[in-house]
Amino acid sequence: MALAVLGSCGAGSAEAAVFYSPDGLFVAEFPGPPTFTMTKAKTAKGTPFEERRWSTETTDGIWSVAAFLYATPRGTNYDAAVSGAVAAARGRLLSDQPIRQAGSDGREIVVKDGAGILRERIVSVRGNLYVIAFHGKDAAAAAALAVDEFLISFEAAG
Amino acid sequence: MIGTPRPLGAAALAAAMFAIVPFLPARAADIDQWSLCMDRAGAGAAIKACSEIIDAKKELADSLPYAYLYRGKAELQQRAGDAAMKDFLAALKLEPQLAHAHYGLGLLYKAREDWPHAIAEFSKTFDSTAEDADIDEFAADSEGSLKAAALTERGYAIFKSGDDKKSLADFDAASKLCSTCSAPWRDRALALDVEQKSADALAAADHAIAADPRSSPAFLVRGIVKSHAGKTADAVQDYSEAIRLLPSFNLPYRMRASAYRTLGKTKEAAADAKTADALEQNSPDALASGPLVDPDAAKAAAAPALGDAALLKIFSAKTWQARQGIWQVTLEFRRDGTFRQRAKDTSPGSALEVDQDGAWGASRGELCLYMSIGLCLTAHEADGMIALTRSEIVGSHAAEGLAGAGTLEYFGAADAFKDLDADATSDPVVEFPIDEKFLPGSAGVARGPKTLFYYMHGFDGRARARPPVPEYFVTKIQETRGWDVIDGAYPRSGVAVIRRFGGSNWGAAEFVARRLKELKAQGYERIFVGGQSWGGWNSLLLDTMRDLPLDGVVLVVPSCCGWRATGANSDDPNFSNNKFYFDEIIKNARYPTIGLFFLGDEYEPADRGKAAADVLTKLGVPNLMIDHPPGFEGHGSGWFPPFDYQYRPCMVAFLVHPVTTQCAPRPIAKIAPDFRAIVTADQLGQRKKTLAHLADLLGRHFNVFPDGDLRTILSADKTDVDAFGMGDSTYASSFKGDDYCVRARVKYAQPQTTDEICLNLVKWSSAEYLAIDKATGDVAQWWVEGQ
Repeated sequence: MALAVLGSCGAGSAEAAVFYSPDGLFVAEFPGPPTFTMTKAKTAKGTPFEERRWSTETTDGIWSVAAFLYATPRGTNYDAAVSGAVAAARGRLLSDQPIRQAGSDGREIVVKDGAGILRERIVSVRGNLYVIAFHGKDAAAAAALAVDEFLISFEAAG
Repeated sequence: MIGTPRPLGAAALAAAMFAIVPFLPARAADIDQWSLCMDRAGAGAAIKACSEIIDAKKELADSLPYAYLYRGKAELQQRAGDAAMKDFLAALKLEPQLAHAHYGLGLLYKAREDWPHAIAEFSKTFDSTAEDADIDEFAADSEGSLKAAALTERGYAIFKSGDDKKSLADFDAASKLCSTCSAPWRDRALALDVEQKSADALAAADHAIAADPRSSPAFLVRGIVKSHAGKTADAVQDYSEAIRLLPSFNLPYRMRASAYRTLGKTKEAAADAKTADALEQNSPDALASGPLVDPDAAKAAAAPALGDAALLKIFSAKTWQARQGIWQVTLEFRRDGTFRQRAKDTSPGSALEVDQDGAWGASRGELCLYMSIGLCLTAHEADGMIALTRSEIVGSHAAEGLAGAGTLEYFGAADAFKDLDADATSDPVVEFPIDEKFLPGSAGVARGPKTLFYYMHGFDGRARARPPVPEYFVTKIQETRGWDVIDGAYPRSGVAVIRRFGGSNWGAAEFVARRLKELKAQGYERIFVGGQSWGGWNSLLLDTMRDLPLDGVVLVVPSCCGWRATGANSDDPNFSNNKFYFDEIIKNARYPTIGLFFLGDEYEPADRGKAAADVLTKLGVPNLMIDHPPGFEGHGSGWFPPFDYQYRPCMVAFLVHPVTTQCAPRPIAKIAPDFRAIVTADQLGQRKKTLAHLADLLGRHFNVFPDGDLRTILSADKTDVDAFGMGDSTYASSFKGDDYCVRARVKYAQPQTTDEICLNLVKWSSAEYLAIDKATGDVAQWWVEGQ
């Protein structure tokens, strides 16, 4: 199911375009129109949640934002979130840094997996967890300025 | 006087879906009534409006004195001395420190030649610690200069009392307080003249003229000094210059008549004496014969006025030598709009030279020069000679302080124009300082190029306090992108030469251009510049300057000139230059440019955005025009949090990736999940409406938008408000049930709606509150906890 609302800013160029998530949850600059998928599941403790994921692929890699919306707001445990992300990628954690993302605390991690490098920001806003991620073939791709700008551009509604 | 009653403009977000009405209708004095009272529409209207405010008996003690003060000032203008004195005393009974009331009393005593009382009142003016103690109208030599004016007047009163030596101390102190003021030097010249120190007196008079070459009294005094030194013929020249500058001033005619008699020119003496008599009797025919000019100049001046195309063709990118009264001048009309005048005093024995920098422009058949004053002229050509005469603008702020429409200003040969290559980059005009405040980007955010956003406020018109907070979207850029911000403001001090409109703008642009190079050298890899209104115009000028380390420019309602008549404001013809000059200057833009233009902008004569986009695109300059975005209205629209929500991400994306584009507004949902997107209470949906009360808010500091205030609720009945243009004040406030109610106060030259305004403060998050008008359900203010 594809449901993308791209602001026309930057449209028509190969540069990033502002994407406003149709559910009003966030804004980010994707390098192209993202596609949407949604998964419903439960946490290990049985709390239902939705995973709403928007992603797009370019020759540089895969760019995505995932929103995890919990039926009951959760406290933030970034260590657990980082462990979960590394496990999900089946990779090795290369770095883990505290960050500020649009007024909220968060973490930025870099993970090496079998296909390349995953660079990911994890931010908790108002009980929802957001994961902003880029997956590229190598460290240089993940360190590109465009990836910086993509990660920094994310803002959750609040 | 420059500035609007509310410098931000009466911004209102009036979306098709959601309407905001910022405040309830006023029951007592509103901003329009106070504007009228504060002399927006002349003395008669001021007396009427102030009287209504007084008679209504609805003002609190913090505002009421100003109604008496301004009525007294208006009465003083109308030479109703007794009434003025009564009102000044009434104001002082309520606020014993009120500086302008003491000053008004001083002027009344001066007019009565009651020197001891005048000295006492000017002393109280100088000693005052009231909020108006050093605030004055924005004029050529009175930016925050009331203390200097009081010292000068006290010195003059002491001088008239017969103590010449003691008066000099006051003149010296006044000059130190106000380096741009002419009057202390002028009066010092008078005192030295009485002391028979002719050379020193002449030097002081020259200093007075150098400080303000448009000062008629300064030339009058120099003429008197020369006359006392036996140089009667030379004195006549100075009196003539005093008359040319201010034809309605009686004293120079009187003094010239005397000089002519000494020289045996009885016919000329009689004519001047007659004019002086007529002026003193307020005769409408006093100046019927007009100022004398030489026959060639008169012939040229009588030719039809040239149109804009001819003006631009003749003057643009040219230098011209001409005569201006007593001066031999060289004028530089640079292609980029900067202007320089070099003037040499041709009086016998004078070595006085005065250079002035500023801006020039041509529109509506007028050639306007913006230096320490605005001087608008019409151009006429006959027999190979060109005459520039004062134009007949009525009520224009561009022509502030001037009188004598039709008076010859410049006269010279049409073939004396020479090509000129100089511009602001190759030969900078004198800088005008910006008051900078460094705001570091949020830690832990910044990645990629080290970036600076140099953003300048609008001009609040008063040297009272710098704006307490940046615009909301600027703070969000700092927070979300981690960019450092330099929060620039019109300076509170350090202004060596007051310059008007484009004059200060170009000087400010030169200042920022230098700063950008310094900041680049300090390590910034990416620099953006921008600003609102006055700051937007500075940014526009920077956009045209070559070789700057500049990666993008943000023009938010750029304005150089006057504003549209609204409410009690009187019309300002200069207002249309916001478009005429903009359309010329934008043709020279060089850097990626964002333009923000709002409907209902009091400074927007006509649609500028679309034409700007066309011009920039044709030039190959990447551009993003947010032109009349739906739902926003007024000059201050950029201050609204919903503006940030809807447009800032797109603006930032353009700055980072400058490709010509347009912005679609971020949709605002009927049930909105974001603080900034709430414009009406209905959007809160099922969200619990937690109303804030005194205990929740006591002692906390909030930035309040779109007002741009910094507020602290001090107690059950007091709120501290640091407001744009107003500085710090304590407002009466209260909590009544679910309402938080506040009554603003006026200050000197700062009208406000003083009626009580009650709003519900609804908690959005631990640090964010929405101030909702419960009658309409509209959000009037967004409160964000700050430092």
